[in-house]
Amino acid sequence: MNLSRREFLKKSSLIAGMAALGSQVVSLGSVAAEASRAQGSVKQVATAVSEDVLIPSTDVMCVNFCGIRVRRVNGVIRAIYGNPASPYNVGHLCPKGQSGLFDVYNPYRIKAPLKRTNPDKSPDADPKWKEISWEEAFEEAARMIKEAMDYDPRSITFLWGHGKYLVQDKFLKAFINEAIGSPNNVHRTTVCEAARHVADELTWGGHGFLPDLEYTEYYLNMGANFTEAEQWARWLDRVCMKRVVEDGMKLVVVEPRLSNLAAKATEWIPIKPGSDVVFLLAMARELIAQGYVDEEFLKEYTDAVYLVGEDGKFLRDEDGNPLVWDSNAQKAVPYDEAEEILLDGRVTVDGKEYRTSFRVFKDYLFQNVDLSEAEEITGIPAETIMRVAKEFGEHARIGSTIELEGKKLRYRPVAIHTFRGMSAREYGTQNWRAALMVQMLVGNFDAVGGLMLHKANPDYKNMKPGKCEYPPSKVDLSESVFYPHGTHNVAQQPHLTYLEPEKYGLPYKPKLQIVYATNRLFSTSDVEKQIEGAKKVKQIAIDIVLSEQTQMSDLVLPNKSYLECWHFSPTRWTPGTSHSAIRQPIVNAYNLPHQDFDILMILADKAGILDRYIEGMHKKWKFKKGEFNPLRSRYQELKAKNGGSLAGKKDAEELSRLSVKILWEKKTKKPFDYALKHGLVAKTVDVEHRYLKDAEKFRGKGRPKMHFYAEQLVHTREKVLEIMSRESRVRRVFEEWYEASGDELEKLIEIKLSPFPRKEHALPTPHRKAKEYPLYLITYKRMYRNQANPDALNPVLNEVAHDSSYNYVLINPAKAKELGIKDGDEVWIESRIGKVKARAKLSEGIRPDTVAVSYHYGRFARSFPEYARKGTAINLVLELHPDMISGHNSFLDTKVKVYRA
Amino acid sequence: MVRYGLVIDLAKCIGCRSCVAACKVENMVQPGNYWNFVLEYEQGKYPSVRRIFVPMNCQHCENPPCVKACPAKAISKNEYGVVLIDYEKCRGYRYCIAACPYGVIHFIDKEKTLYPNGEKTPYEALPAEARHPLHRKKPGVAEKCTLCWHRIEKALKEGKKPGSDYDTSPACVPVCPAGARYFGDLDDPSSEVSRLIASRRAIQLKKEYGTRPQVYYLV
Amino acid sequence: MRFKVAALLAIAMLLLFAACAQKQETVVREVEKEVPVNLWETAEKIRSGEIDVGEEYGMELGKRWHNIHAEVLGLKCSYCHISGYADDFLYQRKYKLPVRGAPGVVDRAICLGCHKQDGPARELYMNAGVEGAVNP
Repeated sequence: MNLSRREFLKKSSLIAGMAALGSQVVSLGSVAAEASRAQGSVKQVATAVSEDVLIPSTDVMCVNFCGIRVRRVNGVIRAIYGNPASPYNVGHLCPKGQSGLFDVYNPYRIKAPLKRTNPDKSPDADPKWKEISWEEAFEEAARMIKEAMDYDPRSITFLWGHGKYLVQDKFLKAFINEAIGSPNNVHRTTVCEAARHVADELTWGGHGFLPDLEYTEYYLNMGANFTEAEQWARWLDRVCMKRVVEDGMKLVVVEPRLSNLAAKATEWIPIKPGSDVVFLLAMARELIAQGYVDEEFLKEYTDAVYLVGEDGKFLRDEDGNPLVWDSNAQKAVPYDEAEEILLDGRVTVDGKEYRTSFRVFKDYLFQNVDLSEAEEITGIPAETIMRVAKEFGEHARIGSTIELEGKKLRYRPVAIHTFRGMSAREYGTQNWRAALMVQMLVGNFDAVGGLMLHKANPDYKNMKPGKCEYPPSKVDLSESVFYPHGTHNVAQQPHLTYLEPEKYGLPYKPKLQIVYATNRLFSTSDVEKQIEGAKKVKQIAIDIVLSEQTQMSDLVLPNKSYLECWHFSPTRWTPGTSHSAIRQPIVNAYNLPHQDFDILMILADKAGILDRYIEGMHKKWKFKKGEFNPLRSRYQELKAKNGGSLAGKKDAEELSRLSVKILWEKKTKKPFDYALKHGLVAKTVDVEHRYLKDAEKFRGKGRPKMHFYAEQLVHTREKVLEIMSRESRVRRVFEEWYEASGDELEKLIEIKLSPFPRKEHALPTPHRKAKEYPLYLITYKRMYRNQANPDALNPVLNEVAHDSSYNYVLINPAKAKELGIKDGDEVWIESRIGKVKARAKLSEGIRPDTVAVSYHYGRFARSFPEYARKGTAINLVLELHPDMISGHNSFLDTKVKVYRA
Repeated sequence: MVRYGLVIDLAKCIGCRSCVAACKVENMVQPGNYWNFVLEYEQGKYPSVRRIFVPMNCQHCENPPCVKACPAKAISKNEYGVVLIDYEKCRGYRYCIAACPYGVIHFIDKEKTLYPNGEKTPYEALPAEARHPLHRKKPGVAEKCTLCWHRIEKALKEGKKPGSDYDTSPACVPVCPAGARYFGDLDDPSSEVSRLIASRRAIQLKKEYGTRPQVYYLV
Repeated sequence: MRFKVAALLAIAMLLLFAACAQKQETVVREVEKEVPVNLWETAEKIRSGEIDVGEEYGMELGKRWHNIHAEVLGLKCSYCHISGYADDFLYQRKYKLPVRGAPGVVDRAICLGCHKQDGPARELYMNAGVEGAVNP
């Protein structure tokens, strides 16, 4: 049965609405029956006190990877404590980390391989799961893989999100790219901060910065809510609160909603959604006008001094070197040959006029950005913008240095930070570029107290024009003409491509997707289309619960949970530390034989691609000495010992353990026993590595320059417009995404691929087009859920606060009064693509022109009981207008009307 | 004398409920009951508005009304200043619940499982022998924060100073992501809690009841 | 949750009214009378056993607690029970459903009147002689 969009939305919102009223839509009885069909045996508990131990491991309830110590009493997980030895979380742990044992002891887990017997994949259709043996499951999965490979290896896609943080993605990439031979590995960064990453890559050739908070004095946070849930949260919140409360750091939070972080801020500046770029451009204008410009930094490290012609491109010599203006010699010369470099000027070369790129930006600001207009667009009083700019400029202490560990270092204790807030938008990349430009103006990159770059790479591909592939080679269209700088996998795209491969000019037909610990159907926008797309391919899932995505599968392989697995875990660095860590099995609650790593090895063997998989591991990990070869020999030995197949055999665990041992010993040079005993090994980072390894790659003569002016986008734009002019399919896709055609579309693309941020970047498509929908809708994360994992089933997370088991729509009381809405009322939230029911929560902590809903409630997976379905699935009404540069999903751009239900 | 107490820095508290989760799991608190809870409210009007988070657990009062109110004499304050309920003596009268001005005592009316399917997880199925007496609760008794007395007691038995490290502190303290919670001896002027109370503005809640709480809030 | 609270509250109030109605002869008259002028005397009589408030401790109607407060002292339900707390009221059980049969939550400050130091009723709260702390 196919549900139309309208029917589906109606159904989903009905579920949300009724759940909010406490009615039982799905009877517990039927859910219990469904869960018990796959019932395994829970281990019996001993009665005598035989054991009380603490076992170190690494958390992965979210992407912070905190060090944990799991307390096991009589073979049962009794509690999860933080590991004080972790330099990252120093023992601190959030509610998710502490309640992880209930993701293990979760009766709704998948306990045996399942095969679908009902071909109808509609969300409300019973898949009619049939329990099958592990041998049968592996044979069937291998057959599906081989069949698709015989057609075209590219027809297989491997989707993972959280899976990257369980088994590291180098193994996953080895499996799909090398063993299977498909380019289609798709992670989920475009639901988080991909646009920020791409902006960083366009500017300094790397991504993943951190504010140097231990020294920062003025910290401008624009949409990163690490006090609720976010990457690096357990370092950021600890250091931030210490700095604010104990050291008097100024924390200025600019965002439409008074988040938990804004609640702790020195100042909350409620900005109109989407307009951060204008706030930052106005700040840039003020900084320049007030003379807060680190000219030395701009000249030494950036291309702000390159000469730009009328065409927006750099003036180059015949060897292609960009030219600067030498004020002494009064001529244009390559950077390395110049003596006195002009930063701010307009010059004539061979009769043509050129401006330094700094001047181009400055002219734009002074001609196009005025404070009263900025006030109107951002909703922030002009005097506030001026004051913040001044405070930022003053605190930057331009020109000052500080001595640490005997080294004299640039000291600029100001930083701007964002995460999803500026990224998850149609203009995400340009928004964060604006913040980078403000920070380059004051020269805080890799300065003490400034923005710590991470693995800067001047040669990185995004420092150059985009490939603009057409036809696209990948189902997520990354780095194609559609997302020319999308280097972080476009998570929402594969299902849309499956639905209409011809529309995007894909030269092959997608046949099969393997999904591993990810839930695209729930975590991206335009959900109904995502579901229709997922129906077009066969699906094998490796997961621990039957989520919205997993229930679309033809075959499901149950994974062990994170406290039952061996993993060499990813970890989070801080400006002053780094560490390596493992995850080790504490229990095996449902007596499962397999975890992700050995599942992939057995699958590779059964599909006849094991050798290629192991070679792929070497390639992806850049290991030259055959480090993973013992995995192959041990695999063959164990296989022989187990009668020719490891399917369903617990001996397979040894392979997962061995992979972790190999990685630990290689990476840490410490014996594996050390890992088992301590869980991690930490290092401190010295001043040299902290401040002098990244930005320094751009300093002075003989080195490339970071991109104050992203000239590569001008070249990318030329390519895109050229392809669009000859490929009507490309044009049609853009017409649909951006609701423009003809000259308007071309003008829009010119704006999108502008070499520096512009005020038009504050106007995503719904803000331009959805005139009859008066309210901005923003979405955010709460502490008590991960994006889309089993947290909704977790009994501790569901009652850690009086309102943690459901979500609500935040409405300003003044606006609510106008709309006749009272606290607790049921309301409709309606966008141009549908409507959902929600419960109103009145709050003074939200702009009157904005409503906010957290986006991880209102689960609709069939196997989830009523208590886990509470709340509103807001993604159902979010419009998709992806960021053309990075492919980021536009989670924060939709406009809506809200009225009483 | 030793008088253990908590100092909670409300300027740092980010309202994450980590302390609530830590307490729930550590103390096997009955579903629906709380030994620790974070209240939250707004102050002011948009845009001059604040959100305040106030974690609340048993205040381990120096003058605990619950002790006086209990007809069964099941509640006592021990020599370290910790107020404890004896589940063996508790008769479920709930006078303590009525007397406590902080609302931190909860009643266990019947056995409840964490998952609504009625089956105990292995965690819940841990037998009484494998639990500290303070975690051997049963229907018909009142429960509340013990300041993780089982941890303090263990530290004392092992000759360690309570609060000197992670495992000798109440479970809610070392997990706090914002580092907003402090535990220690209020009678020792050199302890961190005493120094914080002396150096910052520290308040006790509902002083009009004369309860003299051993939980202080830094504002 | 709020819906549930409201619904339960309504049910609870109905139950209480029903309970009151059953005891009409003995209770209604008591409820309507003023709070006894001499609380000291009444308290003493309860302590000495001169006024029989029953043997059974407990919060349910018919047990000592409500016998004393509702019947002997004649406090109206609404004297203690209020419909809800203010947003900034610092009471940990604030979001808990009212216990079975109760017509709303209890305004805690009411207890102070009698149960203070040197007050007529059993001393629960010492007179600290301080102003109530303002909210943080």
